[in-house]
Amino acid sequence: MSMPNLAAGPVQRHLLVGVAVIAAFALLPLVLTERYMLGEVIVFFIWAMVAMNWNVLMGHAGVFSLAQMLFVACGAYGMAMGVMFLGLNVWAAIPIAAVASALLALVIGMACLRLTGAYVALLTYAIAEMIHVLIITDTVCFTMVANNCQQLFGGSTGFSRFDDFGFRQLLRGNWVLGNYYTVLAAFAVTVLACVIIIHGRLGLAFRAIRDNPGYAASRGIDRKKYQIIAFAVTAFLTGLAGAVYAAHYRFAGPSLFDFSTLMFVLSMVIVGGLGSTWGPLIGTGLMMVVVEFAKGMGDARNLILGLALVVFVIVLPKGLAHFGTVLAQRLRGGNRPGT
Amino acid sequence: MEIIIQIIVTGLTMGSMYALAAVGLSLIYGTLGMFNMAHGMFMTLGAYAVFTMSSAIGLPLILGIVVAMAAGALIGMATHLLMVRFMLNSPEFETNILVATAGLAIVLEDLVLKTYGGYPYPQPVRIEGIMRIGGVAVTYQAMVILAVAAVCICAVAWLLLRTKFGRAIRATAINRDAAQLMGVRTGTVYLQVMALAGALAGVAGLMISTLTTLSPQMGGDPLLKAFVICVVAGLGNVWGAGVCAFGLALLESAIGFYFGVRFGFPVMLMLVIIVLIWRPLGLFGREKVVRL
Amino acid sequence: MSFLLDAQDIVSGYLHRPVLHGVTVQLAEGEVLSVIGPNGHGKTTLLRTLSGFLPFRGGTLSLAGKRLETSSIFARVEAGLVHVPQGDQLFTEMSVEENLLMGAYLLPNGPEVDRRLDTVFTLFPRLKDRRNQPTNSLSGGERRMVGIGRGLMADAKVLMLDEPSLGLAPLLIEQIYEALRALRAGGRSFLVVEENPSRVMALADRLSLMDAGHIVWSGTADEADESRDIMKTYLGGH
Repeated sequence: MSMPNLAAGPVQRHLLVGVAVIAAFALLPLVLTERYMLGEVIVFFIWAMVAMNWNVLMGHAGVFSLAQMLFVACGAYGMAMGVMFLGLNVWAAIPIAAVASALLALVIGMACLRLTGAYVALLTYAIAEMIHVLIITDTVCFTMVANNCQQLFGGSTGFSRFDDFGFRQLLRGNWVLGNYYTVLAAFAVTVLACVIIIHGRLGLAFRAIRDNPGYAASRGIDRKKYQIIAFAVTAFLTGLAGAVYAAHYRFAGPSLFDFSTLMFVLSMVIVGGLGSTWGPLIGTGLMMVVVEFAKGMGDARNLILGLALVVFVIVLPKGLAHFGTVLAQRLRGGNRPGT
Repeated sequence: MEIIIQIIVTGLTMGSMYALAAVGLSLIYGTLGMFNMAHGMFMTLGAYAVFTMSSAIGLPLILGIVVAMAAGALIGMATHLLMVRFMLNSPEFETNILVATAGLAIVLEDLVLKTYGGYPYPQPVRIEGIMRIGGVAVTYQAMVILAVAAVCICAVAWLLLRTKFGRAIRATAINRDAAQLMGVRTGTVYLQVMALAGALAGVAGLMISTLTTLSPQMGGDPLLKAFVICVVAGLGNVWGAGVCAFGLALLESAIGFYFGVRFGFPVMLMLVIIVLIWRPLGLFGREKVVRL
Repeated sequence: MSFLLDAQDIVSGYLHRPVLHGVTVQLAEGEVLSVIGPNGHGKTTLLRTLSGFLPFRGGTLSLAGKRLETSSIFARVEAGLVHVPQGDQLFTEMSVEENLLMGAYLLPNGPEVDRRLDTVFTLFPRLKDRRNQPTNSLSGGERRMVGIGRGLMADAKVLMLDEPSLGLAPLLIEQIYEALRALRAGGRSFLVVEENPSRVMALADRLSLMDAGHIVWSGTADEADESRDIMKTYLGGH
């Protein structure tokens, strides 16, 4: 992975935007002090991390993966199991869990090498679902925890009550802030990494293998190598999201494998704009707002969510980020013929 | 020996339902290039439609099948007319339609939940009674399911291979532009495919509900399995989907008997993984010509 | 004089790239008109506009007096404007016979369809031997025959052929043109697009030379013969 050419426009511009966004979120707790709201923003960070990486993998590298929640789970379970079974310190377990996700992605990526398009989707889905079913139907007690049976991978109840970041002792009443800034740090790393990848050489290579593998090959860009890199790098950051998820919620369970969750996060990516830079953030934010709004409508919650998905995708097929770009262009320069 | 028969019976029964679902799904993918995430709900609506009508007026099985087909066909056509046809020409169609049909499925499931509640009603339109084959108890309903599936699939095969209607569908699936040059109204073809696939899904749903019970989420599992089958067969290959449906169902059945039901689905998935790694285009899939 | 196919001042192209700048193409009944010119200058765009894949941004189109420039692809085929596209565009997994039957899609099932099928097989005997083979197992020449045969199965008032000689060996090109000559003798009206005019000049009654989206020369085949200089300028010594 080569250093980005910082003198070039796009990387610089987007990095600045990224830094601004991160700074804004860093200052947010000054304005928003409710624990519930801060908790919601933490959730936003986590889903946004997953969405950003999914966008790099699917939107830029063209890999139609449905295993992203598996990588989240790998990070979450990895962290929980590391702390519970290996006695690791939370801060050590998190990066280790992320690395575990990357290694898993390496294997899955290699399995997917000869596949294209929807076949990748199915293979990744099959692997994730197989692991899901094996986890929840496991009844063998690996150890006993407080007189309760604890399966190796947590069974259908998952892992809970393990050590978290430890901010309760440090900050007492303000422990949420500790979690907030920790997750924000992970979010910041992801944002900056994704921007650098998308607008650097790696992103160019990814888009080359996405758009025209034959031509890319003739220019020395090995499709297999870059596909695996895409899988591994995005999985590392996705696993990181999963690990901080587990540390924040003190829970890692099979609900991460729910098909509805998968669809939910996928729609964040698509509504935001597949292949854009900031789409995932916009999409995540929007979907969370819709869900929040829908919750307030009580019974009509699912109806609203479902309708929202349909409407967004029909009205804005290229996603919100594209719409935003087009809008900005129009406001700036009037009617310029596009490319 | 008894176990073998039992495995075969279970496998054929499940395979029948999977085949009905998978053939429709494959038809939709092959012709419109669309992953229909709402296919499970098409099945569910077929089952509930029959339940409703039979609660009102009492239906013999034959009519039940007709109602299920009609319900499925209607929802299929509505999906096309109200949603799909507006999205067809955008380059992001493949991913967008996935999200859109997923959204539709969420809406439909919620509507079913609100209309009927979550109570697991049994499906009244079924045939009771058992017979014995080689010492194994086989329900008449299982035989009905197999027979219905066989008839439906043969009918679809005949339609696709021997009629002008079917030729137009196949032609549109292979090369839409060329089909238009022949005077085919491809918009109508799409509508017809959605109706046909919907009808098959409706029947599948009815059959599934006779074995278990009705519930708003009943379509989720069959949908997943139908997808798996379609991809293993090779996307768009309708015959392959039918064959693989039975193959995978027999395998799932065998694994279930020998190792425990718990392993049925995961092993099926394991098989999918192996198949796809060995044959990246599915068992019967063919390489599409890729131009630089 | 009223033309069977009368397309005037066609303006057409792609999203922000206009390709045709006021092209007029007129074909009388029983005539063969050939549009020639270097590649990339709009010939295929012309046919795609005439058949309806690209909208008319300006100009008119009528076939046997019926105005078609705003009609759908279906309506134009139904009216008798049949386009045999470049590169065949066959239904690859379907058999030769099924492809031909698709050509007759707008006809009701019956003896007429069988009659036409026989006509095509008589014109292209090789296809008869291979009638049940999938077209992706055929050679290039045979595929071309299927493509043209498909066009012949329809009720075509005007048949438009996009580069029937494309990618074929000379012997096969001769065979194809032999068939076209037979059809012409039977009274068919053709619009043939070719890059290389040498073959088509023997077949065509009139020629139009297209360059950069304009018709720069138009006339009878004899006149074309005499205007070799113009030809050389655009086509380089053919």
